[in-house]
Amino acid sequence: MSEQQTGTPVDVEVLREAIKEEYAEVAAHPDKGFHFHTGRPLARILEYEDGWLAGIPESSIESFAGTGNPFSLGELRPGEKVVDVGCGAGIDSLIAAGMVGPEGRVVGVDMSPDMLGKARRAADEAGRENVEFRPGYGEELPVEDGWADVVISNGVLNLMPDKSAALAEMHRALTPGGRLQVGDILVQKAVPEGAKQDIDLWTG
Amino acid sequence: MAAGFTGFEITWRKEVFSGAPQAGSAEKFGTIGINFRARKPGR
Repeated sequence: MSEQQTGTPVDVEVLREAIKEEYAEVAAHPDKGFHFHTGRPLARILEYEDGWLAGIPESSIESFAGTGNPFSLGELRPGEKVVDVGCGAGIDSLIAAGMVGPEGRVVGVDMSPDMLGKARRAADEAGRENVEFRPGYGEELPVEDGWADVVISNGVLNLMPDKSAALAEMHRALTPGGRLQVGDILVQKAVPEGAKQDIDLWTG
Repeated sequence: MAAGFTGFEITWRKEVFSGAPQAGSAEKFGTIGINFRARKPGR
């Protein structure tokens, strides 16, 4: 997908590679120190309840890099199907898997192979068999139409070059009446057009 | 809101980048964390 195809001011493939590199570092070296908080300290800032993290491997928690709290918008119900867009190392997918229980199902989607690897290992370690992780982009979700009762996402929509396409995909993946519960960012000052072309500003 | 959602609502706003280990663009652009929800019509 090129800049011309999406209407975004950056080359989409260049942006995606930069984001993959950044989050490979978050996966491999979560304590390195980034322009955002990570791990348990971040979970506290975002008002995650301690009980939600019970049983989730530290390897998943340490690479948490969200910007909000999708679960504060309403706990998920037993038996529900959930898609986690941009699941990273899997913390929100694993929390969701605990909430929906064995009759529910969670699909985490991420474009970072490093993060997907951590998420899969964490799910195995936690013994949560109702969650799976699939490679993919938010603008092309690997989920069938109307499958999900809930779509969650945390700190990822802002990284997607084509936000309209991403929202359309979330809509497509949801069943009629389905809920969208998202943590993201809000930029309160106008960003100059020149700055929108700066890949470093997208990732930092 | 785009894509046919209804009931869009921002429920929470917080400075989530302040004090991060590395300086970023968040302060420059007043970037904050938010939670929002919406619903697909039909049920």
